[in-house]
Amino acid sequence: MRNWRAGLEIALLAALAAMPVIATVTAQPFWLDVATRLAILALAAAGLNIILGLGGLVSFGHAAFYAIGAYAVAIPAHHALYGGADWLASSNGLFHVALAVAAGALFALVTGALALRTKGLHFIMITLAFGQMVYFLLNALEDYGGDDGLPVDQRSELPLMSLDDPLHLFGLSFALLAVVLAFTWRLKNAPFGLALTASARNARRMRAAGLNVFTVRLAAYVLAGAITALAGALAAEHAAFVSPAMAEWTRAGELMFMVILGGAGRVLGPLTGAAAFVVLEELLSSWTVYWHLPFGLLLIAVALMQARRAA
Amino acid sequence: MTALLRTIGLRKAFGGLQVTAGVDLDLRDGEIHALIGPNGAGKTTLINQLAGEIAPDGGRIEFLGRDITRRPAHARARLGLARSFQRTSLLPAMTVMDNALAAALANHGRPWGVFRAARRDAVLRAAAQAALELTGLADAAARPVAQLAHGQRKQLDLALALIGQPKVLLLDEPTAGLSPAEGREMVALLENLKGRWPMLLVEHDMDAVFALADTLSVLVAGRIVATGAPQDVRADARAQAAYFGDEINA
Ligand SMILES: Nc1ncnc2c1ncn2[C@@H]1O[C@H](COP(=O)(O)OP(=O)(O)O)[C@@H](O)[C@H]1O
Ligand SMILES: [Mg+2]
Repeated sequence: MRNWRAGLEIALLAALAAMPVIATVTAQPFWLDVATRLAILALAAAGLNIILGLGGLVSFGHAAFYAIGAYAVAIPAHHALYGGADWLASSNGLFHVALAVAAGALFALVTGALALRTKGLHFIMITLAFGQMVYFLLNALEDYGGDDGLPVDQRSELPLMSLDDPLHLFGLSFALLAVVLAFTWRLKNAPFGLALTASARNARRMRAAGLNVFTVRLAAYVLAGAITALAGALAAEHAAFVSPAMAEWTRAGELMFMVILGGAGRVLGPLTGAAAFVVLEELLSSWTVYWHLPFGLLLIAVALMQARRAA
Repeated sequence: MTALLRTIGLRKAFGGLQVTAGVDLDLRDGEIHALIGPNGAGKTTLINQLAGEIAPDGGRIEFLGRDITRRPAHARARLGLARSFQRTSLLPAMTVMDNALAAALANHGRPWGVFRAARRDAVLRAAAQAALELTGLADAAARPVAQLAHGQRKQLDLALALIGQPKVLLLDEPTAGLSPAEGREMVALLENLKGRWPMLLVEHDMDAVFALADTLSVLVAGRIVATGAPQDVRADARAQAAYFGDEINA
């Protein structure tokens, strides 16, 4: 069981790395597009994996960070192109990424400080509420398209690369994913990772051992939010479009699905989970246009199972 | 000698049930202070208040001369107040060594490392190893907790309390549920620790209490009804009526 899973993860990682070659040889740029989407989703799930997988905390509002990261690219880019808000307007990709990560981390710090005072089902509900708050807020941003969303008419400018080139965008997404996964791999066995996983198993004992479980969890929550916001920034570049739907609770459920299906807390789990999601989405949507319904039911079942395990 | 740990008029009620009814208790340096009393007397509730898991309704707790009544559990542990659990509280699905490493993290001031493996951290390893050796678990370090016998779980629960080099140990029935042989082993272990760690020891086994304790207090219905040298308390009529009666008649 253990071995086939690890084998599958490595094979998938290798296949993803080789995708530019495969797409070129088969003359199917579609594959590169799928690979980029997969890498971005896996990165978003890798953020959630830190708080849900390692920390054992069912954060149901994680799509909010994805959307925050995406809007952190789209809004400055919009102003750079069409004027207004000079203090924010910028086409610099480094600024966009820094803004996405900082905004994601800040939102996580504020909401986490409140949400982490609760536990179990309450924690699920309060993170869901914060996620919905972002969703409605984005819908209300009429200047930025409201519920129609906002196109990114000019992708961010970065030194040495052009994000309009699908190969470059894939390379960037894959490299960031690889860095985050490698970081997770180190983190998991490091003192902070041990503090996080041990607190998930027995918070009472860890408090008795002098650990401030709250601050450890808050740090993990901030880290998780920042990583998923980074993925959101890439998603904005990839789709050249952002919309409030990125913050919807169904998207949060999809991320949870990826983490849990890939194996909560497994370093490469978000990758296999995201791949399974993309495949399942293709299959279900080819059977029925109402594929969100069975998918949603599946998600709720998975979420409830996880909540019961955490309780 | 002044008390390391002291409660003053401590009170706690669960609904209408007064479980701690004005407890004054002193733990002095170097001593083992045993606390006995019938089931439901409020011994565990008292330990939980001392450790910071339950907030008292009234009264004060002083540790090393400081008022810690409102401090959270982890802050008390960092000050050097460590506890064991009546029902062992371990990290399931982890090895004995990983349990020990995890318990060492905060008390050795290094829960924030994100790069080097905890298992490779010399300070954490040394602290974990020392506590496992002290409690006779060094040979079981690589075993998952699920494979341990009950006696070993109790030993590990104690080891996790020792890892932070605490100043005081709160031990809630370390021999509970042990076989006679395991119980003797635990008592020998505690005898070995005596003098190095002052302990507040909740214990049911009277042989263990008389073997270990310097001071003995009897808790009945949330009240300390007798306290003093073990032999004197044994002679105390109120204590006999409240507690020893059963045992003497048995
Ligand atoms: N969390 C709680 N809520 C309500 N009642 C409790 C709680 N904890 C303990 N009690 C009650 O308080 C009394 C004392 O319990 P406890 O402190 O565990 O006694 P002991 O350890 O001396 O056997 C018991 O009657 C128990 O049922
Ligand atoms: Mg008890």
